[in-house]
Amino acid sequence: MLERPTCLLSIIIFLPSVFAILSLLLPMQKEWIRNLILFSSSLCSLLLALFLWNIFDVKNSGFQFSEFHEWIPKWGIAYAIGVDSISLLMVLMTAIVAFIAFLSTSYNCHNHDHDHDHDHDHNHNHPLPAIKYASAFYALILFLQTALYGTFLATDLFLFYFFWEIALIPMLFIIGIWGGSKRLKVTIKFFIYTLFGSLFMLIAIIALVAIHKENTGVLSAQYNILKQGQLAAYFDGSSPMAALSSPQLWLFLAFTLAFIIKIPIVPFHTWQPDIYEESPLLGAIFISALLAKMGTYGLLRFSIGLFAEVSNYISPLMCILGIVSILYGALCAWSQISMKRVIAYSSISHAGYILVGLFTLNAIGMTGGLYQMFNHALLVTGMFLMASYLFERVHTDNIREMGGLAKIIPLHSLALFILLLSLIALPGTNSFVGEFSILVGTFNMNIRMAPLLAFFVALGGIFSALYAFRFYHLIMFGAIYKKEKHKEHREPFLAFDLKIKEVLVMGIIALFILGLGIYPDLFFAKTKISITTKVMR
Amino acid sequence: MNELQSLQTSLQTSFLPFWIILLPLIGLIINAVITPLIFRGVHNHLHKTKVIFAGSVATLVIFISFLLSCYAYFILSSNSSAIKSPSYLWPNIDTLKISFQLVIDKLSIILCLVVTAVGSLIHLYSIGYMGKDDGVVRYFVFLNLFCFSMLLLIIGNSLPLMFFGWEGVGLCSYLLIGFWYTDKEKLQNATKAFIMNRIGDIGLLLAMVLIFKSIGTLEISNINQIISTYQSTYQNTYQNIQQITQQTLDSQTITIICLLLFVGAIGKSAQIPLYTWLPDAMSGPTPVSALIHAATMVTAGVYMIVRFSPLYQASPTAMAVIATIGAGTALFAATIAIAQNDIKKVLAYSTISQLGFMFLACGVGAYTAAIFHLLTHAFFKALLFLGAGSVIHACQGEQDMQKFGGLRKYLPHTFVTMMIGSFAISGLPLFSGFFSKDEILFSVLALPYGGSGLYLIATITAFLTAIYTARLISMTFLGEERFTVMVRKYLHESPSVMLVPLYVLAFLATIGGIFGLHHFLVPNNYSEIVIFSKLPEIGIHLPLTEREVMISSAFISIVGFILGLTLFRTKTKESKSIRKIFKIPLSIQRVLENKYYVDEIYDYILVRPLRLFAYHCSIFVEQYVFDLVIVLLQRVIFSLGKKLRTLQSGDVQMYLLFFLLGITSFLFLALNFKG
Repeated sequence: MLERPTCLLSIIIFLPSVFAILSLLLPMQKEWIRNLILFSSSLCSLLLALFLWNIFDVKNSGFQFSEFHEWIPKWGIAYAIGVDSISLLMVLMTAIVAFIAFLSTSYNCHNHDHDHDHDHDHNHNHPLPAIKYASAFYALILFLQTALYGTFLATDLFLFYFFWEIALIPMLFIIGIWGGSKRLKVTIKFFIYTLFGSLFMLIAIIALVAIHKENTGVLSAQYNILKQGQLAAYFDGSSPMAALSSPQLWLFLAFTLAFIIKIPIVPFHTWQPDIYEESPLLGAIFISALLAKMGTYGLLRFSIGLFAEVSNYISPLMCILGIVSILYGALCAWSQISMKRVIAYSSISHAGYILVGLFTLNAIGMTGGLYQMFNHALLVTGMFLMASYLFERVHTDNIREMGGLAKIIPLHSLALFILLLSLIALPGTNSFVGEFSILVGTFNMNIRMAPLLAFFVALGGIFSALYAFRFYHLIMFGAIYKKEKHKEHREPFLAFDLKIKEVLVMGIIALFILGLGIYPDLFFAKTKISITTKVMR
Repeated sequence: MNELQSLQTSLQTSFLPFWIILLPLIGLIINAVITPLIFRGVHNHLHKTKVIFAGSVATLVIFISFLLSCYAYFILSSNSSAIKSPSYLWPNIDTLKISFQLVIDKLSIILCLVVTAVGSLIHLYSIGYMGKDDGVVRYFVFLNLFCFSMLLLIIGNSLPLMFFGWEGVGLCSYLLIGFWYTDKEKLQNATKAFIMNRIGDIGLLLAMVLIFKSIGTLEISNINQIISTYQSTYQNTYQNIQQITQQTLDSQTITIICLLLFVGAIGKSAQIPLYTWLPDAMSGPTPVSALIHAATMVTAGVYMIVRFSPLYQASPTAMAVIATIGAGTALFAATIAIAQNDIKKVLAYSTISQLGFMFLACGVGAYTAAIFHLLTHAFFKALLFLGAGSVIHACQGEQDMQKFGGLRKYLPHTFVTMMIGSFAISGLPLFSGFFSKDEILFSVLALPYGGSGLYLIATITAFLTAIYTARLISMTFLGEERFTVMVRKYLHESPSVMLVPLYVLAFLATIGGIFGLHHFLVPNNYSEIVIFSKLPEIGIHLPLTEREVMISSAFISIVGFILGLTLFRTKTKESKSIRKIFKIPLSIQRVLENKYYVDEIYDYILVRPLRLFAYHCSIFVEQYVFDLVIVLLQRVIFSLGKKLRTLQSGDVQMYLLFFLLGITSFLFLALNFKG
């Protein structure tokens, strides 16, 4: 038997914070110190996550490496963390994405200036500005990582809420201070939206704990304890009116609203393209790859995990919501002209797949959804990095002002192409495994309209190909774009191809995309769950 | 104990199938990684060396693959029924367990041989054809990737694996159609091809999930076995089938599955209504058109239906649909082919028409005939395309047949081989196309699913085929010279690296008929492999015997061919339009030349509205529908804030503080009330 470390999870959670404090103390304006801190932090984090993955026991379906400390016993709040196969994947995802993100930015920060001397001033939303207050920036990002780990590992609802809200604060500052020209307007929108959502969640958590106390006399916000409560009695699905007056439905909706806003899913998505466009590169990666997954994770863990009856009742509706997201996001992405907005809408489309997968409520579809969380995190990280690499070379975010780049930067075009293959879920890429399982899951739902839903999910494949190829053609193919007004700006178009470190970063992502597409079990074997026994009652 | 088991499995399985698909992948990696490194910074003076290196690597791997396929063929012909590779679980989620296993059986080996044989010839040809292009290394990478995907499609043992190859060839087709990516129109054609394929793929995907739900497995051999059992037990004990599959399976479900699979086949094999991408796909390099859009990829749909023949045998409705669409497409495309002036477009529509023939054969249950025609078609159509490529190469990229004429003098080898190809496709007696086409015609008449109406359509199509092929030959090689002075100046016969494949294919197109002679001769070693499923019983009451069918089809093809040759042969500088020859009104010619305006109809009905809708989604709906709620909310909050400004300074920290205070007090109250 392996000796099981007792506070491994706490170390994982708080390690980035330690580095954050360190970075506040050290002179971060010096390149090498900053690089060292970021790199060592992300590397340690990654190694710890891999270590956790290695010693994780697949056969045990409960929470492992649990830690429990009383925090505010009077209100039933405790510091309780634990990891199961769902959160294991999320932790790995966070570690890997952070590693890739830090690896790439630590290089970019000091290099973009002297490659081409061009005018920075008319590029207000430069994704790689020479960062002011660098120590604060990186400290915030590292704090954010802690919050993310905490959200994924918390098994106490209040603790979850605590980390959930904590994650918002660094994000607000990152966009509000280091964002683009419209940052304030956008940040307020984001703030209102997410705060609005999570307020309801807080009320629901309190109500949930209160209900549980009333029933059993035990004051606790522990996930496992709440899960065993008699919530089933609080739902009556005999008629729509009865369902509407059931407390469980409202609790479910309060939780789900918060999660869906965070992901985001269609009616609540308008904050997202703006935020993606305005936030600095690292912020964009974190918010799209990781913060969004807090929402999907929450759906899986809490909305579905705690409210099984309502989930069952409402799953067709949620699937329709997901399908609307898939199609609407893809259609919108089809007519965008900004790289980042294309990525944003494609994320909405992919989030739709995840939502559908989770609410199929069968093991195949849910596992597919879980895979897609990871796959999409990786994909969107790659896409944002690609967008920033491109920006460095052509100094524009407008895809109509690009064209013919495949001839100039072939490696770059290859890397982007591999990403797009994953985006359109071509077999042989990781996304195919996920999306195919989601499709199978959808078809196997126990409702009459399941084939129709499956049809629309499959239809998403056409739309994604439409926008992906348009995106690629406008950037990489066609004639080389020449702007009449700025004749002198044609120079940067003879851009340099990917550098070694960029090749390395994209190589890691490509390896994941193709490797997991050919042999998914290599990585997913431990994070696969018998969801039926795990999440459902 | 474990070692013994692994030894046993290694005896039962073979890595041969893996090597067959891995070799193209190895070639791909060499050309993608090593070749650019070797020839780094080398521009002009070593370009030829680079072409030869990349080309020979690419050709060699496919050729070795071909040799391995031959080896597999001999293993199969000696005793075993199938060669299985070791496997692992690919997606492995709950009950969704799909093994990554490759199986070569008596059906797939034929396709393997065709792909690797024709593939290596076309690779060889490409060295000459693409030699002057800058992107030649990329070209060979794509071509090898295509061969990999195609072979995977053929020998993958489960439907998702087949789908892997299926989408892979679609991707390669896209990449190669848009190979010259600076041309916007070519890119549009490439996208069109991919999207139309994806529309078909929806059918395939849904078929897969339906099969998984109703039959419970996605492995092709298992599906066929279960269906066969189902069929044999259906009449007697209905319970049996439910015991076997433990799922619900009825004939209606089978029909739906069959039709959904067929939707996939329609997309890939360019049948009505999803055929319009194939003529546009001709904007790719000509060897690509020969390999992908004539010989191999587009026949994947036919292959899939033959693969699932037990399933289709269980659904007469689906069979009728396939036969109708196949016959309709065959005739429809043939009428368009007659009016086209672009040499490659003629061949493209001819391909669509011939594919329709194959589907017609599938639809009447003559799977052997379909595969036989697939085989001979691969030879003669690849030959015709390569010949056309040779002409285009000689004429500086000119593709309009009105600007050819009298090329026989200048391109003697191309002329001879293309003549053989056109004899074969027209079905002149003793050439390969004659046998396969005749077999289809007879099956259509004889088999229970067939009928006289379909036979009539097929015969007319065969007649039209002979006419448009002869027209192509006549306009290109015979008659008055109509090309420009510039073209005349550089006119040259192609190099031998391009001529060798032409002659080999001409040889195959001539003798290809022997691969299917089982019908007449005593089954020998070859035909035993070709016959993989026994023909359904031949009907008794036939208007014609097989001999009569043969004679009539020979007569029709000869008459058609001579008619085409003479009608379109010109003595003047002007080429003859079909309007003058057939005395038809101008409007009909216009309609034919514009391919019945189907492209335009699709554009106005589907593409433009969707584009408009998407545009308005992203502009109007985003701003005025979804954003409205949050904007209103924002207004409310700000107006509240204005009123409360007297109380508060307005800085965010204070707001946060109050917010937290409020929440805490609420919490405190709530919990204290509860006790």
